[in-house]
Amino acid sequence: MGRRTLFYLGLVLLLLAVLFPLYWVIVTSFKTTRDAFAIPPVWLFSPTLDNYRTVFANRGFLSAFANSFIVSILSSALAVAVGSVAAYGLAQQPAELRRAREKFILSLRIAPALLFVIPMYYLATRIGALNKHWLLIAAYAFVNVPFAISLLITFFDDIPKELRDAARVDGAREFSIFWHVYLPAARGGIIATLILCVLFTWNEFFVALVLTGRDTQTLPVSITSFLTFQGIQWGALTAAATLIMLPMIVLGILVQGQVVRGMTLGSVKG
Amino acid sequence: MAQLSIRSVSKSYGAVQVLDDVSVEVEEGSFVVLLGPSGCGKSTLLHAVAGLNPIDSGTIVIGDRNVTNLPARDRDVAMVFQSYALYPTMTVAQNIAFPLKMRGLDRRTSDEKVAGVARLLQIEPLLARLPRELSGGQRQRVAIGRALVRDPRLFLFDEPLSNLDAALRTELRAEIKRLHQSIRRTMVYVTHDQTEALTLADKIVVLKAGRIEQTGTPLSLYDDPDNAFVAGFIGTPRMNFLKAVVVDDGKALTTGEARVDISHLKTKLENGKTVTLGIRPEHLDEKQGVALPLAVDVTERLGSTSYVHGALPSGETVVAERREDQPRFGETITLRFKPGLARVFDGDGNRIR
Repeated sequence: MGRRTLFYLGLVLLLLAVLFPLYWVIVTSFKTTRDAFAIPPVWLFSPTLDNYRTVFANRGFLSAFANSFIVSILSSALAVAVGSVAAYGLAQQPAELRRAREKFILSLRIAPALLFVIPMYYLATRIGALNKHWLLIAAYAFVNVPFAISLLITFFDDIPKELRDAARVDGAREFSIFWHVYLPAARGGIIATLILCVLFTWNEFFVALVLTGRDTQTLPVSITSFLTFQGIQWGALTAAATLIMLPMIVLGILVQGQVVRGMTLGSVKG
Repeated sequence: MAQLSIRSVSKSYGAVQVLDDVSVEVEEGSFVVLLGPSGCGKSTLLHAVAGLNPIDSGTIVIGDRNVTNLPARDRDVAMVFQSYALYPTMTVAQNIAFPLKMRGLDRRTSDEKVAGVARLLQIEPLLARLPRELSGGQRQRVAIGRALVRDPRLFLFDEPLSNLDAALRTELRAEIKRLHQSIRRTMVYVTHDQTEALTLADKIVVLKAGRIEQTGTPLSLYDDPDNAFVAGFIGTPRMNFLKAVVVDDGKALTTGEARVDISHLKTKLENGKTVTLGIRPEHLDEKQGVALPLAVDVTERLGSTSYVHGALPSGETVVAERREDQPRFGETITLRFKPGLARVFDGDGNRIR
């Protein structure tokens, strides 16, 4: 009995710690500045959309939203396209060859971004690419590829090897096997990987901070513009934060449902 | 002309020799079964023929083409897998049409061929379904359809019935046999089930540890095995093996109290040599002949016949068929057999004829 109570108590504390900031951000975004910092806190208040008006009136924020959208979608699509071909190849290789290559990919994943961001910044300034979207897209695709490979390998591994054998006997070339058999069978995994890449890119701050110019600033960088010399605009800041979080929360819910929906079920025994 | 000839094929995985100088000739239109216990290399050999596994040495010829170095797609073979290996995201019709699509056949011809195969295998109502909506037997039928549709030079079956339950297995086995009789195509079939081998094959190749033990018709393997392994592997229940000693200047053997005349053997055996005497359970239910006293342990009643398990005075266990009575535990009965039906093997398991 005591252990059960303790378990639920712990659970409540954990949920509070995780959800309270979220609650605070969303609620503050609907408060006037006076309500936001009232002591004791105001629990019941008449909500206002003023903060959102401020945010939407801010041209920088809107273009950052568009930048984030374009960059995260394109770089993730690129990473998944490259990653899925690589993961398919790796999944077909004999174990010993594969292990060495997986180690290399893992090392790319754990390497600090600093390692390539600074040289890339230098190169970008030299060729004048600093204010171009493709630079960011390339950088994020590069960061996401190792991640996409290692995730997609697990999805491809779930597909029985005999499907490839069958397709080879049926006359398919390697790319046809990948395209007609493996890709559809791993569809759930591909979508999940794509969404996870988008989530990562959407939230990423450091690479964006270094490699964006005035026209390519993404949301995490642009949101800092609400921290001004005149003080922090808490209302606008939290409204912007809410708008940034919203699409990602929706995607996060989607990804839960999409991960491996037993696409291979029924092809092999059962 | 042989449709498939496998010449001195060898393959090893590291230090493990999985195929050791294997040669098999498969005649046009025949049904050849590769039979052996698991790990004997039979599946590896089939995959090598399909082009899915490279071999270390040897030659594989299909028709008049040396295909040893050709990729699977250029060998013009079709294969049915134990696990069915249907494409999970394609419907039955798309699965069957896949080999045609990969060869760039136009849609109309392809549709006609798929319909024809579906009619032959009676799977027309299933064409729009996905593999996961089918039962095991239906899935394997679809897999057979996918192999049939292209009309290849060679059909390969890799234990296609092993995942099915007993009733379905018997049904599909008969269907494969019927299919072979109606289309008369060359088929190579891998199994560890000797009943499948005996019922389906024109020719059986028995493999053990990567080597061919014997090749022959089902009846010749059953009647005239070259060695104790083949004798024991073919036939259920298994052949009984008894220790025996040569006496009377090679004219007879003694096993326990019994004396077995072997004067019909061409080979002259020395007195005192130890050999193995092999007697099939179904040959131990004679009215006359050499007598063996059996202490009955268990009797399995199968309706039409029974199998008695028991021990001889020497302690050797024996299974014997019993058609007329069903002895009980603790009884001692007399088994009789004709010496001419017993087989003699030397210490290495080789047949003495």
